[in-house]
Parts: sequence; C-alpha cells; structure tokens
Amino acid sequence: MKLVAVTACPTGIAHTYMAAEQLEKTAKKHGHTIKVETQGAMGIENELSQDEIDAADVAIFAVGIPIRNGERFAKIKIVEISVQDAIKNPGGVFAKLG
Amino acid sequence: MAIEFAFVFPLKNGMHARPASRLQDVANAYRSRITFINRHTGASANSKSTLSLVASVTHQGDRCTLIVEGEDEKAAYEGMQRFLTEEFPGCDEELVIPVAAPGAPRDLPRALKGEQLRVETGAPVSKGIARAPAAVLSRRTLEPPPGGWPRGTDDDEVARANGALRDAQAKMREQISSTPPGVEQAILKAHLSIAGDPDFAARVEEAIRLRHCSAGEALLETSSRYAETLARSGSTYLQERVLDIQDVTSQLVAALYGTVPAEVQVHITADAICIADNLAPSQLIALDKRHVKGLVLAHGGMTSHTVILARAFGIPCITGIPDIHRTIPPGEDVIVDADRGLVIRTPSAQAARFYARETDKQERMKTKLRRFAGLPGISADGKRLEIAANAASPEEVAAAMAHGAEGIGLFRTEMLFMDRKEPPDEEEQYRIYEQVAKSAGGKPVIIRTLDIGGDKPIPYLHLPPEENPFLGYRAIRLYAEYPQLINAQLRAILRASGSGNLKVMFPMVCSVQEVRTLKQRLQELMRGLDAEGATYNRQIPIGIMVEIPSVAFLIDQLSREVDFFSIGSNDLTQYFLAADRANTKVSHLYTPFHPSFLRLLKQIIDEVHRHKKWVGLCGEMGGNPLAVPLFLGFGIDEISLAPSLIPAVKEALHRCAVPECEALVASVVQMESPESVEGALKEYASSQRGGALITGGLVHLCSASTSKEEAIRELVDLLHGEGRVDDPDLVEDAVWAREETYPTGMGFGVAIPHCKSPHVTVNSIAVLKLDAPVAWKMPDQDPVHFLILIAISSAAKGDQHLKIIAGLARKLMHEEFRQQLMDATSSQTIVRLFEQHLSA
Repeated sequence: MKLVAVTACPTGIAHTYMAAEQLEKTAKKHGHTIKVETQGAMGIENELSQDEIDAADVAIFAVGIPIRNGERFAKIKIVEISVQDAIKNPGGVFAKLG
Repeated sequence: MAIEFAFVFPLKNGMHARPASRLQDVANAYRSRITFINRHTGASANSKSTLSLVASVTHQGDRCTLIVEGEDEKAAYEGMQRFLTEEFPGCDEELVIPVAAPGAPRDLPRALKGEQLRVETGAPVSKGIARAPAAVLSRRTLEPPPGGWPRGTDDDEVARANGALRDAQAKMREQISSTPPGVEQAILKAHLSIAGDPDFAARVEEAIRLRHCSAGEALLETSSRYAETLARSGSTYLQERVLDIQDVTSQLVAALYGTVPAEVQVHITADAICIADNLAPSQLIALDKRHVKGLVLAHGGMTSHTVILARAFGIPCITGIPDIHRTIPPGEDVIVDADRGLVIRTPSAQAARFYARETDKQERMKTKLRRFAGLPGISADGKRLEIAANAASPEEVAAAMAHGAEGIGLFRTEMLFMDRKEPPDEEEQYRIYEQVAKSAGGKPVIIRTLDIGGDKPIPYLHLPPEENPFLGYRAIRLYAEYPQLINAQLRAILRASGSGNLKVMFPMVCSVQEVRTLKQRLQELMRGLDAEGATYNRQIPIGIMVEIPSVAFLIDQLSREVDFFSIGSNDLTQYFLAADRANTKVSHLYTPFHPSFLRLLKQIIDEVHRHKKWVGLCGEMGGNPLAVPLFLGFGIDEISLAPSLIPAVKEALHRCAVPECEALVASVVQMESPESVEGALKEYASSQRGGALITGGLVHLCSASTSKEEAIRELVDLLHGEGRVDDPDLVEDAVWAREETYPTGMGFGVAIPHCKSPHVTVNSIAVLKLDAPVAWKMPDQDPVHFLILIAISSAAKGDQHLKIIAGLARKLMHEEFRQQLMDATSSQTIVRLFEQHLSA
C-alpha cells in the first residue's frame, strides 16, 4: 500500500516525532511505502503535496490537536488515531488499514 | 521674651515621622525652648521631641504656632522660620526603611499537592527553609502586679523614673558601642532616641504628679498613650513603631522592678522554630541566634524592626498568620518554607523528604557558587579582571571578603554622616576606616570622600533645597564651604592608611583645577600630620570618579594628576543620556547598554590605558553578569559590585575568553539600539553554556524517588542545580500541565516528560534512572523507571535544539538505543550516548 500520514501533538516537541518514526518503521516492516508529515514546534516538515496525497491509498492522522491544512485530505480515506496509539501500538494501527 | 511664629500646616499626610524628625533636628541646633502648638486641636508639643510632635496629630490646614523662648531665640526664630517656609513643605515623604515588598504566599509545590498536609500561609519576609520543633514565645505584656507596684512620694517616683531612663540610655549606649555598625546597631539607636526623648520623660513625670501613681504605672500609661495616638495615625510605619516604644518601656519596667511579672521567659537551648504573636526586637536580640532556625509571627510588618533583624541574621521568617502562636502547640514538628510563605505542621514523610531534598539542593548550589567566590577574577583564557565589592560599613567589608571580593572598589562614606545630629568627628571616622582596612585584610580599599548634596538631607549642614540637586551643590563642590568637615575626613583616611591598603577617591570631579585644589588640601593635611608625628602612607594613591562626561575628554590632563579612575556608571549614564532613571516617563532612556554609552566607556578605558593609569567601574552595571563579556572586551582593570553578586559575576567571567569578547565589543558598538545590544549579549551568554544540552550534572542514575511527583521534581531540581531554570516551581508546573494533556510514558519503562517555559534559561535534557519503578498514572501503562526530561526555553531563538530533540524522540523508538541508555552505568556514558546520536 501507498500511505501518507500526519503527526501532531500539543507541545510538538517529542511525541510528534516519535509517532512519525514509529509509523515509518512499522510501514517498512509491513512492506508499505509511507511519507509522514510532522506538524510540531518547528512548523510543518516533510510536507505532503496534493499530488502525493492524491496518489496514496489511505491517510493516517496520529494527532492530539487539529491538523493544519486539512483540506488537502478531502478526497482520501482517513484513519485517525491518537498519538499514543501510533507510538505504543503501531501494529494494531496497520491491522486496521486492512 | 518669647517670639511666636504662626503658620498653616502644609503637609498632605500630616505630621508623621519624617517631617517630625526633620523639625526636631533643626530645633535641636538651638538652645531655646521651641514649643509647637496646634491651635486646631489645642495639642502642644516639644519641637525637640519626635514622639511629641507625632503625637500632636496635626493635619494639613491646621493652624499652628511655634513659640521660641531662650537665650538664642532670635537666631532660633530665624532658623525655624526659614526651615518651615523653605524646606518643611518638601518633607512629606513617608520615612520608611527601604525593603523589598513582601512576597505573596505561593502555592505548595506541585510535588506536594496530593499530600494531606496542615499548611498555614503567610507573607515570606526573610527567605530560607528550616525544620525544627516549635517554641512558642510570649510577647512581653505590660501589666503591673495585682495590687500595683510599691509607691513612694511623687518626688521619689519621678526620681526613680528619671533614674531608670538614664540607666537605660547608658546601657543602650554601651550596647551600641559593642555592636558593629549595621541593622542591629541602628535599631538600638532608635530605642535610645525613645529612652532619651524629652517628651517621653515629661509625660511620665506628669502622670506621676497628676495621678500620684508609681513610676512603673506612669511608664505604662505613657507608653499606651503613645500607642493609641500612633495606632490612630493611619500610617503602617508609625503603627509598627508602637512595638519599639513598648519594647523600651518594658525594659524600663524590668530595670525598675527586676522582672516584668506577666512575661514568660523562654530561653532557647536547642534548635527551634520560634513562634509568637509578635516579638520585641530586644527579645530577638537576646535569644541565642544559633538555635533560632526560623521565625513565624502572627503580626509583624515589613518595616518592623524584628523582621529587619531576622533578615540581617539570615533567619527564615514568615509573618501575618493570625493566631499562629495559639494554634501551634510547643514542640510540634514544623517546617518553615519562607521561600514560599508556608508553614507545614507535622509534615508527612513525603513533605519531609521534599524539604530535605530542597535544603540539600540549596546547600549544593551555595557550595558551587562559593567555589567561584574563592577563585580569582580571571577569564577562561587567563586575563585578570579584579572583582571588587561596594560597601558602606566595616561589617559589609567583612561580608564582601567572605563572598570573594578581591578588594573594595567603592567604600561609600555618606552613610556615616546621615541620620545623626552632628557629623562624625575625625576620631570616630579614623576608627571606622582603620577597621575597614583591617577587615579587608591587606586587599585594596578605595575610600570615596563625602558625596552628599541636596538629594540627601544632612540636617546639620542646613543645605537649601535645590531645583536640581544632581546638577547642583554636592560632593567636592561643598568642600570649600565646609573645610572642617572634609579635613576631618581626609585626616581620618590618611591616619588609617597605615593600617592597610587604602586609596582615596574624589566624587563629582569635572576639571583638572578641582583635582589640584584637592591635592593641595591633602598636602596641607599631611604637613599637619607630619608636625604631629603621625604615621601614614605618604604615597596613598589618589583617584577620581568618572561620572561627569567632561572627564572623558580630559583623561590626558587628569592622568598627570591622579593614579586611577573609577567609572560611576549610574551617574555617568544619566548625565550622558540626560535621562533621570527615577522619572518613569524617561527611565526607558536610561540604559548603560546604549551603544553611545558603550562607545564612551571604550574611549575612556582606552585613553586611561594610553596614559598608563588603571581604571575600574563601580555602579549597577558592574553587577550584571550579562555585561561581563563587555568588561573583558574593553580591557577594564577592575569592577566593583554588590558583594552577593560576586560569585555569579566570577562564574560569568570564567566562561569568557578575550578574543571573543573583543569581537563582541566591536560588534555591539556598531549597533543602533540598546535592545539589539542586550539581545547580542544574551545570545552570547547562552551560546557559552548552551552548546551542551546535557552534562554529567544533569544525569542521576540511582534515584531514590518513589513517585511520579518526586521523580519529576528531582529532574527539575537537576536543572535548577545547574542554573538552567530560574524558577523550579513554575517549570515543574509546566511539566505537569503537559502531563495532564496526556501522560508522557512511552512504554518500555521509559517516560519523556517535557515542557516549554520562559523559566527555562538554557535548553536542556536531564536523565533519571530510578532504583524502583513508579506508576505513571495510566492504568494500562507499564511502570516507569527511566525518565528523560526535555526542557525548552520559550525565549529560545532558532530551531537547532528542537531539531536535536526531535532526533532524540525518533531515536528512542529504536530498541537498541533505549537498551544502551538503560544499560549505562555512569553519567558520562549517558552524556556520550546523547552526544553521539544527537549531533544535529
């Protein structure tokens, strides 16, 4: 599968990046490709373009706050989970993608 | 033949202590009896008694008369009339001893919020933490024994009362002479002025003759009449003086009858927290201060002498807890937290541990700064910069040496001349300067000659008020008119110069002629001393203050006359920028970081060095650690600052290197605003220490913390101990605020609490490994035994550290890295692991 994801936590200092790392690691293990955009204290990094989003099968939102530029995902299937879930139970998250 | 002078009372706040004491000072210059009469109330007062003037309860607009009668009545009348019309209307300012405002009580620290504690809160007035059993002290109550005191004839009783007053004054004078100058001595002097007040004695006599009562009852009656009057005065300051009057009265009664019957004597023979409704200053002086670990008072304001003494003795003190002396039983285990204003009764084990750790941390921090106190003032690359202290009394000189002063860069002598009826004579000054020289133990001491003028009232000089005292008649400009005054001072300094390394410095010099005149005066005095066969240092170095901008352009001429210069940065800044820092409308313009002012400093220092003399700086700028890189870059020879700031300034100096600081100076003098200069200095300060996010001091691998609360507090305290946060309680709150969004446990026994706060001064990582895991307050989560605290300053510029921390967060998702961290057995290994993996 081709995945895109956005991670964002309230302070944007640590969990945003832990979740991103975990999603990337787990996707690789499951044989998926993934690009993860982080919305943290340093602003938006590794930003997803509209083309990348349109080309993906599903988007994962691992967020604890409303995400920025959410309109980009109007046409794609979204799986929303908590940041903790992404960090602690990434396997379960990927199982949901089915 | 009496002379009368009628006037309308001009002061908005009525006759309070300051105008009364000024009036008294002026009246005391004459032998005539000078009676103040308030025609409105009919009250009559002795103008030579502050107490009596205050007790006349005179308000603005009251019609008043002054009756002058005696041998010098004509001169007295003229002097008083001049004073009342010209100077008195400007005396309305409240006479208060300047002290910091009392802090409001703070909350319990977050780590103790969950505890069931009995906590009383009050105003923290003298900082510190202490734990000891409570000793409840009774305040002296003034009551005659049942049936009254034995009584003789009226004449007998008057004689006894006067005898007691005389004895008390003699005893107080003796106490004053055996007490070093300082707060305690000042308070004893205030008490002496009550015991010697003519109105007080007159009222006691009147009470005896009118009511035929005993001397003791007359004393009590007089005391309570003053108390009632002052209690009605509406001034907190005056109300707090009631305690002083009662204190003196009870000492008088005790002297007359052996003991004060209603007084419960408490002697403290073991460590104790002293608890009282209020305590008389003399009671605190009498206690064994080694054992007084803390003081908790139901009453007692910021200007109460008891509180001022507590601060002087370094005793933690909290006031304003109603009925505390009735609610705490003697012997109860009590913690006084006078940093926050909390009294914790019978503390829980958790609270006891918290405060034991807090005390430990404070001790460690003190020890660390003390280490810097003892080091020489030297930069990281070995350049000397003498770190000296400002002082105004021999006591302060000794304290300065204990804080690591390498000399006294400014000994102010004005204090010796203030708050008294006549100037100190040569002998008194000689003893003080000699003691100063000895207290400095051979280190250099710069004694500045008298710098007074219209802004500092010295009653016996009768200086007229001025439109603009800072540009007027002050300092050396007065010397020609008051030759005895300055000659006595210079002779005293010269005579003391044999006892140590003294230098003499003249304030407010603006021309080379002034220096020549002053040197001639010194030469004449030396000839006088030679004739008397006195020994002194004939080569005593002579210097001048650089505070008038003209001096900056005369360094070449002045260097031929003097041995050294000292830049008075406060006055030089305000003269140079034409901004009065006391005027809130323009005080924003007053800043020593103005690029123009920095250029001026650089020019002065370069010029002085070109003429092979040395130059120092005294003034508040000297105590600002932020300015230290500038001083090093300028190449100044010495800075002189408040003693308590010395360790921090030395620490800052030890981090600086000359080439960097010279580059910094070159760049800030080109800037266009003080704000950009300060910004550059702050950036430099944090770049010096901010290079490392984590150091060995921020890692603790065998923590005994037993709860999440304790563990988080311990992490924050690690940062505090390394000077990386300025308010640990608020940083702790910020960490908890983040935890409450959702806990930061990440599984695998690891948690990464974090926060962004303005109270974090340097971005940091701290690590704690617990002996036993603690619950992280989420039922589904594993207990945690490895904690990494990430603290980010909300003032931090740039993303560099955020990037590193994002990298760390990502790394933590890898088991190998986690395992390496948890297997580490030394702080160094942890620091190395972070360094290896976190390079941005």
